[in-house]
Amino acid sequence: MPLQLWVSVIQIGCFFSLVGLGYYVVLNGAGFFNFAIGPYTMFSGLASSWLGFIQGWDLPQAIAVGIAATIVLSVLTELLVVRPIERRSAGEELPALIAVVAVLYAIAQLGGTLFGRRPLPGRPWFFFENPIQIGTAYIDAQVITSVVVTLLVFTALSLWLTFSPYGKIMRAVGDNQEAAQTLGLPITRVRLIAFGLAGLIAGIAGPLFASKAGVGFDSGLSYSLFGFIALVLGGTGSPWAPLAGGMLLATIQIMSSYFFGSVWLNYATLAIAIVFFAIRPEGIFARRVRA
Amino acid sequence: MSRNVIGRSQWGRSLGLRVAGTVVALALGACGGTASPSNSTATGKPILVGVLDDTSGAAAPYSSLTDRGVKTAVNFINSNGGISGRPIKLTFESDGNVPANSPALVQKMIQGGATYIITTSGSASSLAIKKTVLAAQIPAFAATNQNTGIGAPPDNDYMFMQSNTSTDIGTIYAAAWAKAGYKNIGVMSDDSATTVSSEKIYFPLFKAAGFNVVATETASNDATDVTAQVSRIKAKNPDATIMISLGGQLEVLVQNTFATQMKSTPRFSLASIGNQPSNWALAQPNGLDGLVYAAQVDPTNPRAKTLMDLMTKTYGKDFTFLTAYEAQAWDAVEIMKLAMEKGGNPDNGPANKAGMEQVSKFQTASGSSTFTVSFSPTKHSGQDGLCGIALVQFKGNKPGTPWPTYQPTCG
Repeated sequence: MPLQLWVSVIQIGCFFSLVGLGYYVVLNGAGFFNFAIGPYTMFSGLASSWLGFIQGWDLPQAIAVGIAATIVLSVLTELLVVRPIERRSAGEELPALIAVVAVLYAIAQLGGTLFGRRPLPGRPWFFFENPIQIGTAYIDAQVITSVVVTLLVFTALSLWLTFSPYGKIMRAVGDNQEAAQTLGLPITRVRLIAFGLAGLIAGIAGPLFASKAGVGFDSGLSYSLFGFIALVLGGTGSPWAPLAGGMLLATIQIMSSYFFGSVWLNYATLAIAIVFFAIRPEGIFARRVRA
Repeated sequence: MSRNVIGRSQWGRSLGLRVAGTVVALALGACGGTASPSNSTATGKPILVGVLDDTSGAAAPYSSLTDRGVKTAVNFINSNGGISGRPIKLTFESDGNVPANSPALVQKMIQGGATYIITTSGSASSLAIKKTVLAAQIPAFAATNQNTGIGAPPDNDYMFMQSNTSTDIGTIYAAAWAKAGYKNIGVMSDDSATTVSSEKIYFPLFKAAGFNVVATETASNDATDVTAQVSRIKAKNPDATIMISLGGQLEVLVQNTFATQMKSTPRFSLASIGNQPSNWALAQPNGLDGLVYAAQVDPTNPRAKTLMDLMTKTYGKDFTFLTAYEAQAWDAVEIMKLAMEKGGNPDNGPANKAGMEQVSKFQTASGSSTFTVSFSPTKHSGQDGLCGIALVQFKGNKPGTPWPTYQPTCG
């Protein structure tokens, strides 16, 4: 089996993991599956590509604006869509969930309208001329960037959840929202922080991955799907769970394509999701809450 | 909702553009094109022409370019006397490259008064509307599509095409690979309806010409990684690879992966990638270098040169490269104008069809300088010979020079 396949597993696994982490943060802080994470990721990638490639901005500024725009979009989703609908539906999750699916398509069209409907190239965050060769595998700068940035994001979030006051509150809310509310913890603010953080993570993932294959306005739906499955596989028991889920999903996708042909990619993805839903719905890392 | 884009005289309002238009009209007329050098804005009842395009699907990257070519030609004609003094008015419908949507959208444009249809979406869309235009007796012209079935029976009485077909391109590649001494070919393709229908033409052709298709791999247009597919092709050790796709970001992802993993294996592609300048920037440094594609614009064709000048004057910095889509769209509108003039009644579908069948040896802006397009009651695939195609090799992630090993001829 070519070593190159594992390089691909790591690279796209990093991407799936970051999108899955976006889900994880909102699920912990707001008890809600935010399916608009994929379009946030697309929007950030498309915005930074448009600013950098079409408008000629420097890469750091373009990425910063893309991330900022995504944070704003994510916070607005909570303020203008999820919160009012949950309030009107007495905390019922389904109406807000349906509204967020509509947001998913709205953001895709917004991206297409603002930045055009042709895919745009991403730019490597750093670049070296010749890829590093290890055996038969080639490791280029994009792979190294993806790994380093992904590990930094996961480490930073893990530390924030463990040591910062709001991180601790978010964990408490994730463990038991009703108890947290009874204790008078600032639930509303934590929800907003969770959406903002998810926007930040998606905002980083978008331009990071756009440098591999470019990004188009219609990319968001598949991003949402893969991030969600990464979370399902990884579970919600640890902030590192989406990383495990993302890597497992990437392994299944790449290896099924290699051994059985590309037609099996979707079947294998669906099959692993069904297996986890049926046998281990809590994912690899199950949440443990003290009674 | 219909998108009525072009009415009369939106272009050429400034004196400078009018002068430029006249110069171009004279040049194109002198070179064999049909543009009328009358330099008068068309008035009178507009002739409604429907355009079936794709603004959101897999064909959108090239459909938008083709639309631009159509609009440029229509504006030019309207500013230079129109068709027998009448302006062309365009109405657009997007099928999202979903062929199931195409017949109803074409029917809608016909019911809205369109007496001629131009398709700029994928080949599968043009195939899907053959029966619709036949029943309505309104001619349809596939401006850029290559699927051989579009202009061929059955149901082709009102369906026309001008591009060298998939059969032509398959024939060219078979001759090219034979000349280069290749025997085993690896194929990578996307999963679009257009590509799936094209493969049914290419594969038998390759096999009949004695080539072994040793690997066939597919990826979806929104694939995030194609390492597995490329590894499977590599494992079969082909002499060369060909990418059959609509281009777009998938093709660039595939070519990037080929460039890394199969550096020394010659790569070929259909026309799409060579006509999508915005996608070249998606490639890694030198990721497209060495790739040979079926080009349909010859910069030495004087009509292409003149069109380039017009596009530069019209679009300024937004125009950097004349694609085959724009050149063929220009030709399609000029041929339509000629057909309507020959038919004598632009408001009548059968008259327009009869006019199309009288178009003979039309000298195009696309293809080589000697390439022509002709139709007759029994010939609705207009290309006269194979020289609408040149095999061009990428260099520096841009189309470079003709591939030295083999070039198709007109004969």
